[in-house]
Amino acid sequence: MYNLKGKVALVTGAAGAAGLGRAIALRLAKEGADLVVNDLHEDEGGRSGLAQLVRDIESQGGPALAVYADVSKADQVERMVEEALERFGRIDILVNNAGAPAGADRVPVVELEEAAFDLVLAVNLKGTFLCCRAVARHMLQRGGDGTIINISSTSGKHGVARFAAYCASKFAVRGFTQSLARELAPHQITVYAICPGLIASERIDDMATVLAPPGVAAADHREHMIAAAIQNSAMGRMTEQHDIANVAAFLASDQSDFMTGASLTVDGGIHME
Amino acid sequence: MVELHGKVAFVTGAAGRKGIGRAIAVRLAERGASVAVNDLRPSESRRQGLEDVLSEIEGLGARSLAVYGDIADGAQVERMFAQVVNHLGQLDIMVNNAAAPSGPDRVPLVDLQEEHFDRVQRVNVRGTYLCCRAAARQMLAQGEGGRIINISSVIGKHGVALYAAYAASKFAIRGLTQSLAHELGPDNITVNAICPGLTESERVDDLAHQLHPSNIATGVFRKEIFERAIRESSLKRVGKTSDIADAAAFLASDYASYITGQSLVVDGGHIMD
Repeated sequence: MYNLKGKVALVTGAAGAAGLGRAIALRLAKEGADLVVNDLHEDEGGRSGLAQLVRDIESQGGPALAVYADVSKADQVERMVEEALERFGRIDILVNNAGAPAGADRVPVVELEEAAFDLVLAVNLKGTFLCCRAVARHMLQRGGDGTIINISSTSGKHGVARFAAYCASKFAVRGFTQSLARELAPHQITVYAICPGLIASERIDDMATVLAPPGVAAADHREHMIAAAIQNSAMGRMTEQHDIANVAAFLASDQSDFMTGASLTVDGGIHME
Repeated sequence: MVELHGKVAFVTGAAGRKGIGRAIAVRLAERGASVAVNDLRPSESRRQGLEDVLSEIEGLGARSLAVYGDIADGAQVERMFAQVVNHLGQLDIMVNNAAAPSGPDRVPLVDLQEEHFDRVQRVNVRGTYLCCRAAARQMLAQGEGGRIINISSVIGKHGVALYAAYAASKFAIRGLTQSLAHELGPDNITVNAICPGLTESERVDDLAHQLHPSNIATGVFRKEIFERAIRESSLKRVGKTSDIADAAAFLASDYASYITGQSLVVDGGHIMD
């Protein structure tokens, strides 16, 4: 166990029933942290939602607060941080997990519409920036000390066809992470990125729908994507939510401090850095 | 804390009183592992630490064993692994930390003697290979997975002047790590490297002694090495052996079970990749 007792964590994009944000929130709670969990709005697209996550965290014995906000809107982010501070008095750990759903952006660049590109960058990059800025200001104001974890992707280290907007946003998150790590290090605030491989969450269903070649059913393409990910991985399985949540717990502890600025690849050995 | 109860670890090059090997061995023992420690021979000049490490580990209530031998000698490696398994029953965590002392290899490449180049490769590369092979054979025979952690260096990611032999050896360790990770993934054995930055151990003293210009005293030069490293790091300090031990304990734990083939930089936020 990494002891996070007395710490308050804010995890964005945590409403997915099989999502990464949910797994990270539950893991940090299990390690002792109090949780603030965020998503855009309740029960979006049949997700189990934040209310369920709050109940699940509470049934593990820890307090939790749900705050709905669009991370790409500065005023909503500021309100979210205020609500978190009203309830818990401080934030020690920020996990920027919210990402734009896979959609019209998963096309060749020559066909990529501005609006689709902008949406991905708005959530993945600007959302990360706004949450980092708001929480870093709070951390500095209370005298420093804290951890920020940004969820990038293995596609934040290696470009993939039909993922230009996504890859650009996830590379950008790593660049942002490194700059911020250097700025905040003097204040004992560490900043990391995690680069997960393909996870069997709701996201992969969206991706399969968008990426299935003509004449191939989404479900079949989903199976194909999963089989390819398994075949490419040294560990012979897909990335699971708890794999990432475990690494987030380590990074949230003080035992990773000297690794600040790092982008940790957690993909079972597909991409090795 | 991460739990390693019931696990057996073997750490090479652990006799340095202020060394990384010792810190890792003690940390794994603190987490509950039985720990075998290795160094070249008993009571080598100023390196009388292995007996000391042994008593420190046993003081923690963990089982321990000292095995002396040359990791670059195949027969001695066989003998040492047999000793570890005979005394401690199994092997779950292998930490390849032993490295050639800095010596006359730290010169411009144009002046680098073959024998000095060979000596560094013999210990750092051949020794790591032999111990990886022996550890992997043992772990495969046990059939319950395992962890191999190889100590590379930030100089295993970016070459620096006067370090051609060392840089080559530390890059080589990362290559070996990645290949082996692919081979052992299906058997649930992860293989990772740690790349420490300048870490406060005996090695820095050796280095300062070795590299100081004739017009600068060793102590002054050592201070200059430290000041440069502090300046370059985001966290404004040099590494402690405990920073490296924390990363090793993480990689040895269940929290890192899906991280394989990676080279974790632990340098206080300098190179960040």
